[in-house]
Amino acid sequence: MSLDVVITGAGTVGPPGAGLEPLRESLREGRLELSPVEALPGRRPGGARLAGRLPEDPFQPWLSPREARRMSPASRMAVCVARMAVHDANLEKEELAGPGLAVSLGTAFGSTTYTAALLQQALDAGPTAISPLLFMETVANAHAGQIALALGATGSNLTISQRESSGLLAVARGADLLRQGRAERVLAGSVDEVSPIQHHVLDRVGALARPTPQEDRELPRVFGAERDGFVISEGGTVFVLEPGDRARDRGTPILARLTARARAADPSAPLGDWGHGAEELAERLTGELRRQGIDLDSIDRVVSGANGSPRGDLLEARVLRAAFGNALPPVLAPKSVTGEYGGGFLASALLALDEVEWAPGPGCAQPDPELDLPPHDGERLAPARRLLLTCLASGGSACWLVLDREPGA
Amino acid sequence: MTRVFVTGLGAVSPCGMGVAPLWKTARAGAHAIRELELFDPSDQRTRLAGEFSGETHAGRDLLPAARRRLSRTDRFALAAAREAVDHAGLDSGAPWRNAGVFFGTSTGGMQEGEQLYPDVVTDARGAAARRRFLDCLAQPLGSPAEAVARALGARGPVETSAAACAASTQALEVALGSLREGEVQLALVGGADGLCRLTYGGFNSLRAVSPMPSRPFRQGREGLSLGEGAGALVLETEEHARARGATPLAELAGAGTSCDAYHMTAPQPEGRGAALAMSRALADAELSPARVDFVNAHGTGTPHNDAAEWNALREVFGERAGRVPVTSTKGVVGHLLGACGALEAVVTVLCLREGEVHPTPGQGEPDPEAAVDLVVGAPRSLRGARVGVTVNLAFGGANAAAVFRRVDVASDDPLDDGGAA
Amino acid sequence: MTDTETLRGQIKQIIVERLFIDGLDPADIEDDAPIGEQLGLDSMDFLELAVGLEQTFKLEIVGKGLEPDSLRSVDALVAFVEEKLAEQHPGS
Repeated sequence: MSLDVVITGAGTVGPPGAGLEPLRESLREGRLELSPVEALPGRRPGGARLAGRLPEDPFQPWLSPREARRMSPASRMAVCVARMAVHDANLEKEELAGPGLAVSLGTAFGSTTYTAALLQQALDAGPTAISPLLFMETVANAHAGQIALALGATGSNLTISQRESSGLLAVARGADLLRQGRAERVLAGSVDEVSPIQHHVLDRVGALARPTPQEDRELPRVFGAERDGFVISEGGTVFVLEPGDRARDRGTPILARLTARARAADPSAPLGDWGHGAEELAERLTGELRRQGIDLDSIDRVVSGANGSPRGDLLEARVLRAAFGNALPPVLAPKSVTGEYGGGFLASALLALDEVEWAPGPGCAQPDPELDLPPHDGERLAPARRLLLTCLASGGSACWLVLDREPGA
Repeated sequence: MTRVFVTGLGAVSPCGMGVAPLWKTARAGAHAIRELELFDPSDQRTRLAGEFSGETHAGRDLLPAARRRLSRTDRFALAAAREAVDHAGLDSGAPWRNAGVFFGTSTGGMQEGEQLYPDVVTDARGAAARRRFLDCLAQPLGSPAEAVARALGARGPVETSAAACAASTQALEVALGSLREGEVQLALVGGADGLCRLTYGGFNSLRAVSPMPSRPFRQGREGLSLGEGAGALVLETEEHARARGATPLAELAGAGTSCDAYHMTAPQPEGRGAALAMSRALADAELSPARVDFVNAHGTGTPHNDAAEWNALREVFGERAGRVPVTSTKGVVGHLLGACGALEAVVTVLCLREGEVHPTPGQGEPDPEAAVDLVVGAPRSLRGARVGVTVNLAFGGANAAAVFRRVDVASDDPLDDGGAA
Repeated sequence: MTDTETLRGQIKQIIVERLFIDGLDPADIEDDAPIGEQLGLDSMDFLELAVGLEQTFKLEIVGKGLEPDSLRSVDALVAFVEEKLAEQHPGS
């Protein structure tokens, strides 16, 4: 772990809008932006109806209509945030392009919009009606491929798909590429769409939060007593990762240092749900960080990937308690505002390094006492030196990142 | 640098269950591409595929409800993983406490998911429809890796590469990194994909498929044949293998990846991206191209791919390019998409073990635009062969290559190949 | 016999819709100029167009589909479709 990896640029789009500032506002106010999702015929009364949608075309000026013509929404978001990140890192395409520029992108579902459109074509008129243009965008690595095309990135091109942990795994893997000398810079992040079919299926399998008699809209009650599932969002985030020395040499601001990462699995997790292997996950987290020279008591903030799922939040709480014991630092839960998937969680991690005064999300009024985890109540927190970003995915995969504030930043 | 060994191999392919029928079919110069039976290809451009028929017996030890939720792709993954783990002489459970699972796939559970679609849009009711929604739990691409991790009791990283046709070769690169670093000492690396209407129709719409079984590198080749199955390899560090007295089958000496950044489906015609991936893999293995004894090509049998790949070989091997033996396993089993990397890695290791490269099936004259030294007719004996390279080129331009080096069976030591030139 | 002008209109509609060219008025597509250059199309777009023509007119376009070199303009596409219709659906 000798090479230090830093984040020098960030691009993001999500329900609050484009860029970090709208997201910062939403987090500060604890404001969840939800919009209706088109109902499919089988939507049950009382089923989930809302999701975090992008506002009106957020792609200007990053993507021209001509370029965007054949792109799925996921690809549009991916190229848009990649260009935003590059601009944010004070880089020009000309100096970036080449075999040293790699892409590492996470996506839980790829373009479900285009997949559904293809399935509809096949249903309406048989398999010979399938559109080649749509098909080529349904391959999950199309979005990373579009980033590469837009930016001339002829280096490694990785796409990771591991449900909710896709984004963190992609960023972790991006840092690995740099440390292994397999890339000079990496565009790393995540992107996901919201489509009616994806929303519908997730609701039918019971993953999503639902409206209640008291509150006529669904809310992600992260760590809450009444939690019943998560809310999905569309969007994307890309970071520019580069070696710290390079960033310092060219004098560009360093947004964060990616100091360590840990990856694990919980084989007790049933398909599509969370398991009960908290002790073992905590053991692996602690051991992996120790192997990289990180002591857990150096962490002064946790940015949790908990999303309001009954078993997921429970597992997360147990893992944190098992790892930190009684020395648990403040735990932030941004998915109560950003929702699950998309890029909101990664973007919120950067914002969490700063001074934080985030109001609890609207679903967080009643914490679950059984979790023994006092979620953060909105009290002002000073800038963090070091935070732990966590993500336990359904199906068992787990990923953690340690982000440090750059000294002097 | 920590050396990484292959200690187990597993496969499910159109040739049947296991490595044995795959190798037997490949040696015989035969192929397993037949009339599709899994679903009706109707009036598409081809009716052929490399289809697995039979029982995988995967998930035997699961409760019925969990077993039913496994997708076709999951079953292939589990069956191949089981064979590899048994071959390596490992049990599930304790050895896997700190081991990783690194997989590649492109369809996940789409075969099941696409059948749900009409129910979704027409509000079908009833128990059958309800069951099918639960089948969707296995649709996300991360599912096969999770299923394998569950079966093994693996607690290390679980990570799925979704890089289409390069997915499981990328998984090899990822695993290699984790093993060298010491994040894990043991890993199951694999790839799995099942045939589905969406993908079958999609490749037909691109006019990339051949009405006859594909004939890689032949003149007049018309396209690819789709296939399904899984490949799996057990990888472990040298230290871990020696400590338990495991027999290395080969060394995973290096891996490399790149992107064409040229076009979303067509390869860069000069094969620059493919050449870069191969060069990186060789550099990673600290081997010069002169030391490569054979190449297991991506070799889909489309006019563009094979020509571009030939150009890539010329760039990497220079004037020696036309004399490096090349084979394409896709001529035997078809294009297994996300699984092809792992399956072709299995075959590459077998070629090293057996000292011979299997022939590429298919009639036809060599193509001067793709003038590789194609192994045809009978296996080509390569006594003393030590280094094999496998390469895969994907949609979206992602490329990946891996280098395997023979390990001397008698001494368990990697053969001294005289040092990298 | 299918009216040539109706055919022309349908083909232009297919171009706009199947190739996702939002905001393009079909009337603005020139009849005799190469559409590849007019509209910035590549081989994937011509594959897509082939599927669009096959589906709309119930044709079979064999081989590699529409050869961009020989079917560069709307005029050429109209002639191509008329010829195929006569071959494959005589009397329609």
